[in-house]
Amino acid sequence: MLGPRARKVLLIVHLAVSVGWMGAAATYVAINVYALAATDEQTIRAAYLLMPVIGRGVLVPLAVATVLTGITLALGTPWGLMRHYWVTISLGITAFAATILILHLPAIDSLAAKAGDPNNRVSDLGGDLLHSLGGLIVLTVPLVLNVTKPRGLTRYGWREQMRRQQPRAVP
Amino acid sequence: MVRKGGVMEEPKPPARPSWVIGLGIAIMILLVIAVILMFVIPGEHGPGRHM
Repeated sequence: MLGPRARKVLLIVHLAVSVGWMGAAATYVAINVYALAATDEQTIRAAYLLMPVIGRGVLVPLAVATVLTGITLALGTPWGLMRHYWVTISLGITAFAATILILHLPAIDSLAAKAGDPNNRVSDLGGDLLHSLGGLIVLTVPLVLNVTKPRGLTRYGWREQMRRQQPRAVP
Repeated sequence: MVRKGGVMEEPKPPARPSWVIGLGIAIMILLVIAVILMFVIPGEHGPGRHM
């Protein structure tokens, strides 16, 4: 188990990287809106070229840091990783979003490469708004779960609780 | 074991909370919509992928 000071430090880091991930995702949405709505070709090209920079330089490191700090916090505190539904679901959704993001990187690179080629018409590229908007919506679910911490023990959590209570019940 | 009406019974695990079921249904619906959109919108995943 983590000590109170280590727990507090890790919680601060976890909050910083996870909220930072959402902020970066919102920036990515804004760049996509720019890429789709702008009329100036240079602006559109610049928006597409920025996408892999934000993806690889900001989104992926923050996503990985969020998953790692989340797992460490869960395992290092009485909450556990599989004891409460909100922790398990939150981890599942976060890990899913991070995996999809990493798997989507080649597609972002491909978009940027096409936009970088002066022979291509950037207005035909179609952007990446659906992925970015979907990601941002998905990330709000763990945020709500982590803040509200709704009740509900998993079967494993319930068995653990029963096991811990049993020695006290027997004289 | 818990005593219930004079008979010793194994305690039953609590029922799955309603919010878990609701969230599960919402995620399934969103996944279905996402898969449909992937095939409807041409692009990296859609029909235009191998063109």
